[in-house]
Amino acid sequence: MDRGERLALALSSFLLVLFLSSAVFAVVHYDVGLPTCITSMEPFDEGEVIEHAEDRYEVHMLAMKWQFDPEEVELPVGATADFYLASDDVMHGFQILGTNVNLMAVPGAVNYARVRFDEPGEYRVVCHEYCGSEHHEMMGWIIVE
Amino acid sequence: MNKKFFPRGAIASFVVMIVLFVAIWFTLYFVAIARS
Repeated sequence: MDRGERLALALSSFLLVLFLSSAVFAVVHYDVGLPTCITSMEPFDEGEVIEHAEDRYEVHMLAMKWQFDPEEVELPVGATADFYLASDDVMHGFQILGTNVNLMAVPGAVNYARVRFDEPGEYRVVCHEYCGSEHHEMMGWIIVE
Repeated sequence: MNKKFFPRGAIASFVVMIVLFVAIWFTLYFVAIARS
């Protein structure tokens, strides 16, 4: 093998290991959750907000043309919310701006993300996957106060 | 004129590009951790 080729292979492998181990470290050390997928639709096929405790909420978010159900979710500051996202028709996007929650609403599947809202405010929820003529107006709100 | 060609400039540009990409990657990595 040529010396330059060996060098390129070593550098690529090193970077790959560096990036993968950084991601694993973040998951383990910082307890960062990764989005997961559930393949059973019920009971996530309708919009609902469930309060398990003062700071623990479960939100069943249903994406459809061209709105989110529920459109507004009110949470207290410091609350941890488990979002279960499903789609009623086509593929939609689901991003809570200002957080790491960035999911796809895939018909027939349920996607999950956990987020803690430490800062009060109004977090806009947007659909970032083209879903039809009114896709650009499809948004919701997470109100944290 | 008889000196063998070696692409020093291209390799230097490549290294700078990789360093820049790694810097961008880790910037967003720490932003994502801060937001979680």
